[in-house]
Formats: sequence, structure tokens, C-alpha cells
Amino acid sequence: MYAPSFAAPTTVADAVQLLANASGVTRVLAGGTDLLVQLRSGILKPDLIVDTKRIPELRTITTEGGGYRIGASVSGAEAGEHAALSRDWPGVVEAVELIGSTQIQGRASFVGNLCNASPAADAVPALVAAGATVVIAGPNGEREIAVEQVPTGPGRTSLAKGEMVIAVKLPPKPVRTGDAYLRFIPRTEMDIAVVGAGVCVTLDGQGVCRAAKVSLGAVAPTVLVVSAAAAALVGSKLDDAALATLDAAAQAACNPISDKRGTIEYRTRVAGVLSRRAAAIAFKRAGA
Amino acid sequence: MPTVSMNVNGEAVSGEVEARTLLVQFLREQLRLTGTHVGCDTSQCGACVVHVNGVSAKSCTMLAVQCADAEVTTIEGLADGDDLHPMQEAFRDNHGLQCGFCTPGMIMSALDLARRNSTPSEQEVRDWLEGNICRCTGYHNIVKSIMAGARAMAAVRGG
Amino acid sequence: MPKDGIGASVKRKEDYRFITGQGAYTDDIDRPGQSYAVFVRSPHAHARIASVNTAAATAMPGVVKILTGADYAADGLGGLPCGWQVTGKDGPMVEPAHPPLVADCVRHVGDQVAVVIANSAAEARDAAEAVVVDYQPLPATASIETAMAAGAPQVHDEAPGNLCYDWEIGDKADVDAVFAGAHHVTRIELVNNRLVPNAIEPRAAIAEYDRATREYTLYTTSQNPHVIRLLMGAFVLQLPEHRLRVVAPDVGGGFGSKIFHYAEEAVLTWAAAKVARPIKWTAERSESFVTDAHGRDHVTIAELALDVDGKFLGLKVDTKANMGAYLSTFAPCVPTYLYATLLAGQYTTPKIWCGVQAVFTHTVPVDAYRGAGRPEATFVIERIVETAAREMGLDPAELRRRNFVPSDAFPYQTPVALVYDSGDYEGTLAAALAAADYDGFAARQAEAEARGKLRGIGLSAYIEACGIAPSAVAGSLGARAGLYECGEVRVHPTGSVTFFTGAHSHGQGHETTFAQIIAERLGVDIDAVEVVHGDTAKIPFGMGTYGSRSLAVGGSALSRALDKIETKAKRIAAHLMEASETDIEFSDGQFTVAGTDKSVGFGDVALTAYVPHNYPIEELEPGLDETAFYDPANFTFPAGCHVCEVEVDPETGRVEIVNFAASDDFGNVINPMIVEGQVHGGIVQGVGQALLEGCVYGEDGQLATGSYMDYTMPRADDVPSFAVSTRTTPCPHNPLGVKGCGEAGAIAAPAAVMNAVHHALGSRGVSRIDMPATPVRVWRALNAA
Repeated sequence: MYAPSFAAPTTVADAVQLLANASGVTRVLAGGTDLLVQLRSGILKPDLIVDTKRIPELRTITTEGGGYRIGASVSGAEAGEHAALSRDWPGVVEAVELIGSTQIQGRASFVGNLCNASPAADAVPALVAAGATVVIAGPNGEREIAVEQVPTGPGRTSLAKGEMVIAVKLPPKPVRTGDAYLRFIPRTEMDIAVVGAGVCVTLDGQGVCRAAKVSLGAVAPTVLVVSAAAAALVGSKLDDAALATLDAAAQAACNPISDKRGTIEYRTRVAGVLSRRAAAIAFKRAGA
Repeated sequence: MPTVSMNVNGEAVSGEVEARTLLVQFLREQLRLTGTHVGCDTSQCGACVVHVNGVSAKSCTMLAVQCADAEVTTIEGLADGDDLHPMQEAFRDNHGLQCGFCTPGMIMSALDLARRNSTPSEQEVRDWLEGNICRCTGYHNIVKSIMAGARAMAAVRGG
Repeated sequence: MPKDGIGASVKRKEDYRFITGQGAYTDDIDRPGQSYAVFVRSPHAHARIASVNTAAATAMPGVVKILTGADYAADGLGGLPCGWQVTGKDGPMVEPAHPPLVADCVRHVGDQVAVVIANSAAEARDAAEAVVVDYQPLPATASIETAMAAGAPQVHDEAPGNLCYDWEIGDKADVDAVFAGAHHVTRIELVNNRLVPNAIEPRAAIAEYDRATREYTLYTTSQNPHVIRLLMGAFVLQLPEHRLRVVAPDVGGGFGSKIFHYAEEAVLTWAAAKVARPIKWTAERSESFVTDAHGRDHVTIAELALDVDGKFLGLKVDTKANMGAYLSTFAPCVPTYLYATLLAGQYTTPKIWCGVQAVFTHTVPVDAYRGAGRPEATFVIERIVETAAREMGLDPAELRRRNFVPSDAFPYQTPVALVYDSGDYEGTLAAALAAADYDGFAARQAEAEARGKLRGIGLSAYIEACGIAPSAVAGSLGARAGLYECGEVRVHPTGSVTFFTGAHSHGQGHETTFAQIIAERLGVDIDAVEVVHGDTAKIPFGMGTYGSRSLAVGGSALSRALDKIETKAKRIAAHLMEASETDIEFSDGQFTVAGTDKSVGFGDVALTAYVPHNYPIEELEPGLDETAFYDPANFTFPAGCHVCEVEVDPETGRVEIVNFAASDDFGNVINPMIVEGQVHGGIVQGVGQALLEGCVYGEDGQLATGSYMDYTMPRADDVPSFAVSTRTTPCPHNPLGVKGCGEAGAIAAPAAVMNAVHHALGSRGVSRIDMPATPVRVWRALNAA
């Protein structure tokens, strides 16, 4: 009979030790939404489930030098209720609020979404656009990497055995900066998310874009950072020419991994559309 | 097997569960609180929504062992005898249910929205209900019920 | 009139238990000593079973018994029966065996091969994984097109070319002649997409056998427990009906999918005697997807001939219908008698021909799903009428008006067998157009265009045949059952009333609606009325709830039983007041003697019936308890018009419903609140079919849309609120003048939505888009046009 063990450590050190010493399949239960569906269907039979919800430092949002450190167990709903975070990084907050449905959201965390490493993970493009990093704890201490360096392919991450993500960090928001995230779920069969587009821009006093980051989800094996799309925005006031270049660059970057429903062309075109629309919102939020 | 203790609807309860036992299984099978329903196996339908420490959660997305020492409220914990909760009243007054199967999850979900927003708009209610599927009502009267229920709750608190 | 009588929006009596979590659905019931069943199901669409090895599984912890198809075959019991025989051009349909447990060959993913019974559900699940079935996979066919192709894999040897029947109605040569002289012919091809009903309560059952009384009891998620008792007892397990009790407790939605007699019910009942313990089975949702009967799945070519004024001259419809791997209980009648007979719609089309070929495939059986045949018919008619109007440059509303059966033409004989009894199609069209502000559409369209959106408006003027059905008519068309309903009114000594009905409520609110009728008629308080349904041990008989029949047929049985109650009560009252029976009048719960001030209350009469001290005992039996069976004289014909307005984002292909208005004629309405709720729910199922839902099989017969992750159920944010209203022409042939409202929304809405989508896209040159009109499909159509 299948009988996994369960542990609910109360410190990061204990959790890391459990993960490092475990044999067989181990899974961290952050929000638990994806993990428990896989457990029920028999797709996944972990030998050890580590619940990190009881580690206090993973459950808080703190400010650090004008930026934010969001504990790995913080849910999308909790992030949405953090006034300062919502004011500074509305695109990020909107993205995490979209994870799953409202009640799943009550538990689904930023990090669970990231570590599930689905190419369609909702929060990820917004975090990437915002320049977020993650803090990883492991047997050899802590390290910090960019969000886009976590997923390495569908279902795979760059985390080593015994490592776990303990926080996501958002940088201090520069002045005249706005971020936005749009995703499109047509709710057609077998498309968890068709496209997600995250855009973050910083403008100068004249409303001209001086820095930009554009990230696309669900159009390639892992989240994309589209520098050509960002380049299309820099130096512009988001005129029609910039929008057209952005659209084309976003489309050019797409490399969908599967085409079960023959949707490659569609996904690609919608990636362009959403990039344009997200850019418009980001510009507005930056004060354009 | 591990033993888990929690507080459900104001009563201390405990039971032996497997690590893989879901909260919804513990509630239904061990505590015989069958008002919380199971409508799917992919955490989509929302028939199993309960409150864990005051926040709505799908009880199929939590292990029973995760809820050690938690405060859990189910649909059975809302009414005070024959005195219905205002949200329950609103569902009855606005015909917000037909077969009744999704209803406990709908009501528990609605309460969490009302806690956050006492005057939700129609669109806010519809967005909030993304995680609760109803096949009977077409949502029209559920939306009406929740808008009325949230306002009734606010009136009770205010008065 | 009592305040809670006919026409009042009485709050539902059943709601208290549901909103407090005290409903008792099948899975909520636990029986002493209960064991748990898990079915071993085929992962292949088509395979020969070489062997089934249960040795390792049997040795696992908690396993009580494992039974296989070979065990079932060895007991010499029956297969699942089909309740309707359709006779085609070449004779009766092919009716292959449908074993509850398969021994030799599996024919769809989900086909049941063995059942594992254990002390707990988890143990049964673990052991089921350890049953080793050696399958030899065979080629499969999942779609109508491939199943009909030359050399297609055969689902059943006895059905060459996978043809179940080839049926027709109307004289084809006659209709062809009309087309030859037509001014204009409109031709459309369409797909009526396959749907999964998805009642939110998954199917479940508990079977038990009492050795002392030799009585079997089956608790099951059914819309018609007596039908299950009859089919399972008489045809499958050969159990005597008097020792077989079937209980359908609270049931969490049905929509047709819980009409049918399913394998699990028979297997559990059969196994319960073998293990001498109650056995519970509850479907996982993923199991429901591959075992609940699906709905729709037609491919159709239709042609409409019109004269120069737009008068319809003739209609030709050629339909292929997917039956799935076996014939489910009522499957054969759905694409024939519930479909082709409705093809006149609301119109005076004089000549109609329809041919239907029903085809076996390696998929889950297809049967009645909300509307059953009538949504498919409405979709054909209303799509072709709308298309004809656009082709001829006529306003679609005006083209409909020119062809409506006029209000003074009833009873109206259509060319496809039915006699419509009443209706006001102009009236419901006008009301729906007004509610939709049809005249203001052009301005809204222009405003939307300025925002880069494409806006469209679509109509659907539907008719349905409900209140199923006159038994003799159904019998002559192949039904193997009667379709009456039964009701027993039991007046208690203190004047309170229990009503036992053969209809079953699984969301429809019978406990309230029927109570209102009784409160109105007997003048008792609605709280003094209790409605009992869903238990063959309590209710004399019943044919159950489907085809919008509960009120039209079950309510009529109630009305007839109340007639008998009133007649007897008047005789008792006459005796008490020493008056002639013919002088007794009864209203508001009081019996009076005409022309006098004498009166006696209903409660006193009830008490007298049970305490017959002063009573005409020589002429009249004591007691006040009457049963009636009602067999309808005709179908009822609810009809109306739904109008949908959509906005399409051409960049993403997303369709948003921005307005939806409906005017329906359901005859007399008992509880307007409940009726509106039924319409709302039906509309969203129709919108789901039009925009979201589509059951997709791979050509290997694997179900690609087997969970809520993949099958797109409508959610609250997919739909708007609706403007619904009713207009009444009473049904002339049943005592309450009622027609039925349960299916209207699902029948009308798909055509309304798709007409709106086509209207919106028409300006961009799109002529055909199939359901569901998903963003990808819309976007593709726009970019291909």
C-alpha cells in the first residue's frame, strides 16, 4: 500500500536537512494545489511530503531597502492584500492573483507556481519582467538567482537536492516605473494558459521609455525574456511604430513546445497582441 | 498512522489519518460532516470549499495532517440552530440553488468574498466564483444571492 | 387563494437542508458493514481481453472480493437493455449485447472489466491497480466520419459498416420536387458537438442484500428509480420487483445523464448478495467522463427551399448520429423521434424530409442530454433560417414572422407527425426583441466597431415537444415502456397532506411546486404538505423526470388524484352537513352548501374520514388517500424566442456575450422564481455548448477532454445575467394548462449564440464556424476569411 510520510518542519534549517537526507521522491508542499492533484491521480507518489507552511519566516512579506521579500509560503491572496506591494508592483500582484481560482489562490503560493515549472505558470512572466530574484536555501547555505533561472524545462528546475526556494525578492521600484501582466486563457480544451505577457517599463521625465523588460509565458519550454521586444520600447513613447516592432519581436521569440490543437500560429499572434496591450498598461502606470 | 487534532465548527476533534488523507476525506468520512461535497478530482469544481483559519480553501487541496491545530469551519457550522446565516438566507431568498450539490462550496466561498468586500459588484462576484462550478443555476441567481448576502452581512455588522 | 398557491414565487421548501449541509446524497449515506467498490476499466478504446489475473490483487489488504466479466457471464444474467427500438428503412436497429462487466472485448475507454470490493475505498483502489488485464489492442474508430468509412474498424460484428439504423421521415421525392421549383435554396453543414453532461454530483450507488427478507436495496443517483428497478430487475438480474427496492435520495443534478440504467448499478446489486455486505461505489470525476452517457454528436447537412417572398417551401435534413459503443437506455430515439419530428420548428414549412444514420463508434455511449434531440433540431432550423435571411437580404426577425404558424392555426398538424396544440410565436418573438432592444442594435454595433470590436445579434425561435409522452404514441414508435406518471395524495387525519410522486426532483423544486398545487387546491397551508419522491418502497409507481415532464405529466397525475380527493371529501362533507352531494361547493379549504351558510372545513372532513363515527360507512370507505395515473393526450409544446448579442475581439478571437434576452411560453406557471431559474440554467448549458464545451476524442479513441482541466465548463465569469420573461398560452389538454420549462434554455441558446457569432463575423467574410466557437476557432476563421 502506498503510504507517504509527512513532515512539517518549523525552521528552514530543519526543512533543508529533511530534504537533503531524504531518499526516494520528495516534494515540498507550499500551497499544495498542483501536488495534491498529482497525488490523487497517481501521477506522482512522493515518499516524503514536506509542508513548509509552518516555517514563520516563509509566511511573511517584509520590505528590504525599498524592495520586498516575499516568503515562499505567502499565497497569492495574501500578496493581493499587501497594500504597498500592490501599489508598487500591480502587474506582479495581478499575476499571482490569477493563479488557479480564487479558493486555490487562498493557498497557492508564488513559489509553488514557479517550482512546478510549468511553461504556463502564471506568476512567472510578471516576476521576470519586474526583475525579481529568488532566495534558495540548501545544505551549503543560501544563494540568490534571477527568477528566470529557476525553471529549466517543463517540470524541471535548477534546484539541487536538498534545496528549496524560501523567498522571492522584488527590487525597489524605480521612479516612473510601471508593470503589467496580461494572460489569455481561452478556456479551450487542454490550454491551461495560452499566453502570458509581463511588461515593465521605466520612463524619463518626458515620458520616453528609458528601460524595459518584456517576458512571455507559455510560448516556449520555459519563460522567455524577450530583449528585442524590450528594445522596441526603449526610446519610444509607445507610438504605433514601437507597438508594431514590439508585436513582431514578441511573435518572433515564440517557440511553443507543443501543438496538440494546432494552436502555434494562434499563440504566437496572441503573444504579440498581449505584449502590446500589457505595454500600454505599463506605460500608463509609469505615468505616461 | 498519524493522529491529527483540529477544531471543526467550534469543537475539538481528532482522528487517525494516513498522510495522504485529504482534509475533505477526513471531514466527510471520519467526522461524517457530509455537507462538504466532492465534485471533481482536479481541484476545479469548488464543491468542497471550507474555511481554514478563517480563509476559504478547497478541502481537496489540503492534507488532513496539514490542518493540525487549525480552526476549520464547514457549511454545518454556519447556522445557529434554526437561525440561518445571512448568506444562507440570501441563497434561499434569491433561489441561488437548485440541486444543492455545489451550494455548500458556493456559500463558503461567498462568505470569504463578503469578508473582504461587503458591497461586491456583479463582476467582482463573477470573478470571485471562478473556482466554483455550478451546472444548474447558470450563476444568475447565485450572483444575486451573494450580492444580497454580502450586504445583509454588512448590515448585521453595522447594526 | 392561499398566499403560497399557484403563481406565487414561493421560496423552496427543500432549500433548508441544502443550505445547511444536511442534504443526503448517495455518497453521504453509509450503511452498516459497508464495503467499497472500485471498477477496473479499460484504458483502450478497443481491445480483446486475453486474460484477467486477480490473484495478486485478491491477496492485498482489505480485499473482500474481486469479480470479473467471466464471473458475470458464468451466472447467465442479462445485459443492459435498450428501452427504445427504432425501426429503420431496412428493419429494426442493430442492438448489440451490452454486458455490465465485459469478458471478451472492450469497446471504449472506461468499459468495465472487473470490480474490486474491499473494506475501504483506498484499499479497493490500491487492489484495482494490481488487477492484471492482458489486453490485445485493436484498431478503433471514434468519429462518425471514420466509423462510416470503408474498411473502418468494426465496433460490433453484427453491425456491418458500424450502422445501427438508417431511418427516415417524410417523402424524399416529394420534397425534392419542391426544391426543383424553389426561388432560393440555402444549404448549411454543421456539427452538433458532443457534450459531457457533468452534473456536479458524480454518479454513485450503494447496493445491499438482506438475507433474512431476501430483499435487495439499491441507492442510486437516478432521475427515475422505478425505471431502474424495472430494467435491472426484469431484464438484467432477473430479480423479483417486490423484493427489489430502488432509492434515489437527494440527487445532485441529472440533465439526462442519470436517467439511464448503468452497469455499476447492476454489478453492485449482483455482487451485494455474493459478499453479503452493503457495497458503495462513488465515481471519481475522471471516471464520470468515461462512463456517464454523453450527449449530441451529430453531423448534419440541411437545405431549405424558399419562394421569392421568403416563404419556406421545403426542408431536407441529412444527419449522422454517433451512438457510441453500445446503445444506452433511450439512445436510439434521441436523433429520430425527439429530433426529426421537431424539424418544422415554429414554421409552416409544408414539406420536410429527414434521414438519420446512427453509427457505432469506440466511444462512451451517447444518450439524452438536456433537450435531447430538440436542441439539435432547433440548431439546424434556426441556423438555416438565419442564414437564409442573410442570403436573401431579409431581416431575420421578419423572415421568421412570414413563416410562423399563426396563433389561430392550432391545433396545427406538421408534416413530421406532431400536432402542435397552442402557441403565440409572434408574441414571444416581439417580447424577446423588445427585451433585447433589437431596434437599437445598429447603434451599438457602430459604437463597438469604434472600439475595434465586432458585434453581432442572433435569434433563436425554438419549439420543443415535452411532457413525454402519450404511451400509445410512444409505443407505436418503438418505446418499450409506458410514459404516464403516478401520484398518490395521502390526506392525514389532521388534514396535513403527503404527496407521493413518481417524478423525481434533482434540482427542479418539486417539493415546492407540487406543494403549491396542493395548497391551492385543498386550501391547506403549504407547510402542511410534504412531497415524497425517489423511493420505490414508498411510491406506487413512477416513470421519473426527464423531457420536461414532471409538471405536465406528474403534475397532471397530482391534479387527477386531487380530483378524487375532492370528490370523496365532498361526499363526506355532504353527509356531515346533511345536504345533497351536488350542492356542495369547495373553495379556500371550506365545503359549503350552495345557497346556505352551512360550512365545514377541510380538516374536519379529513378527521371524519379517519374517525368515521358520523359517516356514510355503507356507501363510502373510510380514509382519504387517492392515487392517480395520468397518461397525457399529446406532447406539450413550449416555445419562445431567445436573442443573444455578442462582441468579438478580432485580435484574440474571444467572444463575449454582452446581452441575452428570452421570452418563453411554458403555459401556466406555478412558481415563476423556479421557472426563471430553470431557464437561466438551461441557457448557460446552451452557451456552454456554443462557446466552451466540446468533447474531443483522438482517432485512437482516447478521450482528450477527460477532466475539468480540459473540458471547459461554463464558469460565472463566462456569462452575463439574463433578461427572461414568460408569455402564456395555456396547454389545452392537461388539467393544469402547463407545458414544461426544464429544457428550453439548452434548446434555444446554442442557435441564438451562434447566429450572433456568425452575424458578428459575417462582415469579415466568415460563413461557417462550428461549436464550440472558441477563441482559436474564431481567430482562425477570421484569418482564413
